[in-house]
Amino acid sequence: MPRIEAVDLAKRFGRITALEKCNLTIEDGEYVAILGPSGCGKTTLVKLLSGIWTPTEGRVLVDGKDVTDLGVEDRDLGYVFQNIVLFPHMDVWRNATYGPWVHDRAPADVDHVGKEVLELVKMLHERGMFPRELSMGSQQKVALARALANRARLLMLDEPLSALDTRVRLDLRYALRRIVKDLGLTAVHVTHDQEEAMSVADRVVVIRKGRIVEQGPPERLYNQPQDVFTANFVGESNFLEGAVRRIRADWAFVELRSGYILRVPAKGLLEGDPVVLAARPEWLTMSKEGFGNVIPGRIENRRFLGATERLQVRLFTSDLVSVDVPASQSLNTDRDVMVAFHETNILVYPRPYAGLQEALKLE
Amino acid sequence: MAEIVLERLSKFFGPKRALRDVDLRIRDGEYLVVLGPSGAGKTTLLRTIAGLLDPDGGRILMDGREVTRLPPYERQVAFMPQTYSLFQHMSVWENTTFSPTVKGWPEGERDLLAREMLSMVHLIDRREAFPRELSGGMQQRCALARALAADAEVLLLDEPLRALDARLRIELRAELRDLIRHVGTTTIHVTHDQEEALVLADRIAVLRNGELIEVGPAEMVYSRPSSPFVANFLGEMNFFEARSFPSEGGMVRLVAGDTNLLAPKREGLEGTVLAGIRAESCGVQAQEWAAGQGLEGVVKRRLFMGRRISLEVQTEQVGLFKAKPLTAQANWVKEGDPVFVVLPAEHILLFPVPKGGVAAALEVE
Repeated sequence: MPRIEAVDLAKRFGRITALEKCNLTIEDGEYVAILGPSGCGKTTLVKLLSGIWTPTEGRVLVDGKDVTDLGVEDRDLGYVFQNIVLFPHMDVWRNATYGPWVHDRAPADVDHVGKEVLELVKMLHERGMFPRELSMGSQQKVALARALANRARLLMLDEPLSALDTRVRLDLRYALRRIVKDLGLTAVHVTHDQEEAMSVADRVVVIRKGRIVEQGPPERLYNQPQDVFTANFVGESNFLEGAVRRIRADWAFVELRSGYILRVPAKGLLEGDPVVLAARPEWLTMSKEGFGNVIPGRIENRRFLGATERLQVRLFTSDLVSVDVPASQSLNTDRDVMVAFHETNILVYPRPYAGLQEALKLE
Repeated sequence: MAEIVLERLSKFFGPKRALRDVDLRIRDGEYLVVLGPSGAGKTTLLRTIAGLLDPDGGRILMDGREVTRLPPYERQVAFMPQTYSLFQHMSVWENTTFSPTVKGWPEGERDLLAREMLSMVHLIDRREAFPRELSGGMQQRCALARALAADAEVLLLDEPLRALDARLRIELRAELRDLIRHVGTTTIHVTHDQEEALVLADRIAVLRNGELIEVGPAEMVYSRPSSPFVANFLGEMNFFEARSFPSEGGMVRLVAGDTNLLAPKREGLEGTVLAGIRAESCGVQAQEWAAGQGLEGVVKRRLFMGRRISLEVQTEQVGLFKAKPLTAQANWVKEGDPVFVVLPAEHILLFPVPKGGVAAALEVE
């Protein structure tokens, strides 16, 4: 059963470092998503893990065995690419059974495997169709079936859904996770889409500029991101800069611009610390009260988002924050409002040395 | 700036009709989003307006002037195709300044404009780079900057954000909207992404199989869609058949199995109806706390999506039901939990029962 380890894995192209010393263990049967903006090194990582590229430094271990020098063809893994690569002149069945067939498996075996993998991706009925007759989503399902047909226990998914339409992508997410879990595979799934990463994986690894920024189960990453970059990249956040004015028991009182104060959990903070507070648009509410953890502001803009409406409120601290309210709770622009911050739903970070903008930059 | 009128516009590719009698008026300065599944005719519509395809029937007017047979360069439109078509031998900067240079803009003004556009698409630091040195997403952003800098009266954007990272797409779409609103260029933006359409559009036009099946402000198309197809395309729906009985206060009473639900009345609909509600409009409560109207069931599948949690709930009355409550409200739900799915009356939509069945009515193609 495959357990993969990257030990001090690094890749450089000339002077450019694509991946800095990376240490990562993927447990047997685990579904891990590698998430990051384009050019962050996530594809490099998966190519090094699969043996498509050779690392400049470091080693790759599979079940404790050093496989660093083995090429991808000598490793026991299935690979699905963003660009769907099917043989255009072969039908669904021939495409799916290509692996077992070139490996000269007995015809009964080929037949058995083909039925099983096409059943898994729910494409058995289309077995006689050619790629050009299928939608993009169906083609990618066939590509997945083909990757599964070589019976590898390790599945590498390199932006497998990025070329597809939104709706199809949503349906395939469910399918991917179900198949990986039903078969008990170890899966590494590279994506730039935070929602996709969170809904398929047991653990999400966030990469930025060739380094692992943070990793953890999806819910922790969304609800308590440890790094300010993650708070912005995985879901949207509002950020407010300030400094700790005083600490009383478990609370820190943070002074924002124009002298407004918010109360936040004091964990690890000292008086005088420069901090960045973060809160997601759906964590903020409109308050009728003028006291407590509220900041007054004026609605500048409304955007219809379907079930919710996004209000952009210019706080009296001069920060612009987004607040998601139910679409039925209609509020007009130019109205003065109170925005309520909830103590347990505020994230607190030390203010980054290079500045907040730099710390949030996507590339 | 320009008003565009399409009259009975049709286009065939061999025997296949890609556009069927499309009638549409786009106001001067309006941001229209054309939404539809792949193959619905969206790109064909844009290319026809751009003058890159000749229609087989109908007329195109810009500010009252017929342009149906005019070549592209006489139409005052900037078209951003899905393939970008950047000049490969020119840098990002040269690509962006190409059109204003050709038009003979003074250098100072031209540079100011190009700088502003490249900043908006976050490419100002890469202005010396050539297209081949850029990622797909960056090439797309360069094409967008070039289209915006063309200073045309009409902008035609074909999936302009498609190749971008999910996070950057969210950021850019807000900026794009603000910028174009500010400049006031008439814009037609094609996408298959419903969220993008809702955020950007003054009005949304929905295309299906070459036909314009609905057009209206984003809120109306979302909240009061005319067909199950449009409803489902703007946000995943649950549908179930129910018998409808008159009630008070502009409401009807729906009976499905042993469940009674109130829903807003829709004129002309009686007897058996197709009722629908969006997954994101459904709330979830513990059964012992159940209040309001809804359905009891057991959670079969739970997927965390960040802002929302996606649930599939097995109900006795209407089978598998999808709910996408906000995470803050439904964090506690686990697979196997008995829950009460709240169906707020105001979010229930009613339709006639489709003759060919619900599945066919929703078919994307």
